[in-house]
Amino acid sequence: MTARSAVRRLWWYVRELSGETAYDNYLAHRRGTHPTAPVLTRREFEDRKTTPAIRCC
Amino acid sequence: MNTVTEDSPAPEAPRTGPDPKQIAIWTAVSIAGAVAWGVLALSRGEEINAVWLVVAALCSYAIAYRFYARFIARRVLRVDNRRATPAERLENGIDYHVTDRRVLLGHHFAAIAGAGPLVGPVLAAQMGYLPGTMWIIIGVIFAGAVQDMVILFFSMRRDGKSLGQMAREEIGPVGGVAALVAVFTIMIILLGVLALVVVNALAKSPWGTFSIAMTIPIALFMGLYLRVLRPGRVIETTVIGVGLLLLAIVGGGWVQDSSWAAAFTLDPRTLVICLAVYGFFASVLPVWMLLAPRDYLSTFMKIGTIALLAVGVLVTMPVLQNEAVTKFASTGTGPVFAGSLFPFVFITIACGALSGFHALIASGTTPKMIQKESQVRLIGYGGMLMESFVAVMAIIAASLLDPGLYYAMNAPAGVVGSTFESAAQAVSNLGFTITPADLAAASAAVDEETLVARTGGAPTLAVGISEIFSGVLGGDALRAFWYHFAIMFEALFILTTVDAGTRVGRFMLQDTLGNIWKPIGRVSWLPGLWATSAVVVGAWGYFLYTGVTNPLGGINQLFPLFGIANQLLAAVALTVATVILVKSGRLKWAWVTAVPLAWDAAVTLTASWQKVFSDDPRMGFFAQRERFAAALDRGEVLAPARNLDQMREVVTNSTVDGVLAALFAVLIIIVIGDGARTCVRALRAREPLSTTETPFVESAIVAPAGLIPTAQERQELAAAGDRGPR
Repeated sequence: MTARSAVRRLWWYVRELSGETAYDNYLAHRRGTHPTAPVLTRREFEDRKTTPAIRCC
Repeated sequence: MNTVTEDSPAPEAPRTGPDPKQIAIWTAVSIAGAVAWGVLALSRGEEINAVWLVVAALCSYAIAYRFYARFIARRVLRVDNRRATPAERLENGIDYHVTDRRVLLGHHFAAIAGAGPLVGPVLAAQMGYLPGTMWIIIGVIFAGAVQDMVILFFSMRRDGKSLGQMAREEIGPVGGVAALVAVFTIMIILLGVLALVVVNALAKSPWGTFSIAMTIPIALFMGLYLRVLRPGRVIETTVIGVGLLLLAIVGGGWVQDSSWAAAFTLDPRTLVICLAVYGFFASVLPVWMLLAPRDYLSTFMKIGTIALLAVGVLVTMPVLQNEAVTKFASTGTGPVFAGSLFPFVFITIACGALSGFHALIASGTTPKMIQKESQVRLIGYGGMLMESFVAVMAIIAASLLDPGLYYAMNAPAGVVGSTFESAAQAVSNLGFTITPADLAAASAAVDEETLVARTGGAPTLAVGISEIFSGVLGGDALRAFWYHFAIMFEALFILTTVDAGTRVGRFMLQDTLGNIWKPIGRVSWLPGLWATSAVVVGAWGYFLYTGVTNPLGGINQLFPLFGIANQLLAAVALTVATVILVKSGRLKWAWVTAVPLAWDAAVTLTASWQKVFSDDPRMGFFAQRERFAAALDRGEVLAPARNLDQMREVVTNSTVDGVLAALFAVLIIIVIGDGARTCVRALRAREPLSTTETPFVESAIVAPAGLIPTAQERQELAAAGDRGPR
C-alpha cells in the first residue's frame, strides 16, 4: 500500500467514524432507491435525531 | 413467528487440514501468555513490571477471540452469511444503514467505553492488582464479551429490538416489566454515581472547574458553527473544538494563579446544583446545540487518550508499587469500599469485565447498522475485548501509585480527615506509610491544593496517567498539565454520559407515562418535556447530593449499589440469551450464557445479601441504620458524623440504599425465575415455542467477517466486484 492510499483510507475512516458522511450517505441511499421522491434537507436530517446515542459508563 | 431458521444448520466452510504456520503462531501466543501469567502468579514481594499484565491480557484476548468467540459464532449462534441483516433489508439511510465493519467497531467501542472501565479498576486496586486484573481478563472472555456478542446477535435477528422488548417477548410480561424497572433504576444510579465522580474531581480545584466549565461555551460555539457557518463539516469543527479545549486546560493553570481563582473554587454542594442545572438544559435543548458537539469532542478525546495511554504504558514500562493481593481482600475492612474479595471485586469492576449496560447498546443502534451476520464476533466480542484492555490500563495506572498515597486519596474524608498530618496518621493506622511532606509534595507536583480524600477514582487515575505521560513527554514540568488533562478527559466524557443519559431517561419516562396519560408521551409538548426532565434530573440529583454530603463517603456507600445495578442488568441480558437458546432447541449450548449467568447471580445476590443483612455496620445498610438511629435516640453523635443533622442524614441514606439493594435482589430473582419457567415450558412443549426472530431473506452483500479479510474472503470480494473504501 502506498503512503497516499494509506492517507486516503485513513481520511475515509475518520470521515465515516465522525459522522461527517452521514447526510451524504442518506442522499446517496435516497437517490438509489427513490430517485424522484423528495429528500430531507441537511437541517431536517439533523433534527430527526432527538435522542443522543446512549453512552455507557 | 419462525423457529425453523434458527434451528437450521449454518453452512460450514470446507474443512481444510491444519496449517503449520497457524499452529506455530498460536503455540507462540499461548506460550507468551502462559509465561506472563506465570510471572504474575509467582512473584510475591518483589516489584513487578506492568508489561507482564499487558502481555498476559493481550495473549489471553487473542486466544479467546480466535477460538472461543469463533466457536460461539459458528456452533452456538450459527451465524449465517446468506441471511440479510436488518441494515440490508430495512436500509433507510437514517437509523438502518449498512455500515463498514471497521467504522461500526469504532462507533460501538466509543459507545460502550467510558468512565466505567477507568473508575472501577482504580477502586478495586484496594484489593491489590492481581484479583482485579484476573477478573477483568477472565470475566471478559467468558462473560462480558459473550454477553455483548450474543445480545447483539439476537437483537440483530429481531430487527434491532431493545433488551426490554426482547425480555417481554421471549421471557414473558413479568420478566419484561422487571427488566424495564431495572433499566430505569440503573440509569438513575449510574448517572448519580458518575456525576459524583466528577464533583469529587472538581471540588476545590479552580483549574479543573474552569477547564470543564469552558467546555459548555466551546460546545455551544461548535454547535452554532456546524449549524450555521459550515454545515456538515464535522471534522473541521471537532479540530477547532479540541484546540479550544487544550487552550482551556492551559488557561485553567493561569486562572488558578490569578485573582479569578476564588470564583472557580466551588464547594461540592454548589457543583451539585451546577450539574443539575446543566443536565436539565441538556435534556430540553435541541441536540445539535449542546449534545452533538460535546459528543464529537468526547469521542475524539476518548479514543485519542486511550491510544496515548496504551503507547505510554508500553514506552515507559512502569513498575507497579501496589501489592499483588492486599490484606483487605480477605479482611474486607478496606477504606475505599467495604467487603471482601468475593463478591465485591466482581461488583466494583463491572465495565471492562461484565457490564449489563452494554446490552442496551448491543440492542440499540449497533444491530441496525451491521453489514453481515458473521461480523457480530468482531464488533460484539472484539469491541468488548478492547474495553477490557482499557480497564487493564486503568488498574496499571492506579497500581503505579505509592500505596500510601493511594489510600490517602481514596479513603473517605471521615477516615483521613482534611490535613496532610491527619491523612498520614490515618494511612499508618491502615498499615501503610506516607509522610505529611510526601503528601504535600505529591499535591504540589500536580498543582492541586490537596490530594487527600479525593475519592471517586478520577484523581487517582489522573495522578497515574500524569506519571505515565510525563515519562514520555515533558517530564516533571508537564506533570500538572497532564494531571489536569486527565481530569478534563474523564470529566468530559462522564458529563457526556450524564447529559445524554438524562435525555435518554427523559424519553423513557415520557414513553412509559404516555401509556397512562397521553399528553405526557408527546415529545413536543413543552410542559411534559420539562416535567419529565426535572423528574430525571431530580432523581439522579438526589443520589448525587446524598453522595456529596454523606459523612460516610458517597463513593463508599453508592459505588456498590451502582455495581449491583449494572450486574443486575447483565443478569437480565444473560437470562434473555439463555431463554432464546433453549427455546430454539439449543439446550446443549445453553451453558455458554447460563454459566456466566449463574456466576453473575451468585455475585450479585451475595453482595445484595451482605449489603442488606450483614450485622456489621460498615457493611450492612440496615445494621448501619440501626447503629446511627439508636445513637440518635440517645442524642449522641457518632463519628464520622459531626452533628445531629448529619446523624439524621446517615439514617435516611442508609435506609434508601438498603431498600434499593433489596429491590435489586428481588428483581434479579424475578427475572431469572421467570426465565427458568419459560425454559421448562419450552423443554416440555411438543411443538417449539414461538420466538420473534424475523424470517430469512437472502443477502446480496459480500463482506469480510473480521478486521482483515482472509484469502478466501478476498476472492469472494473480487468476484463480487468490490472496490473497497472509496
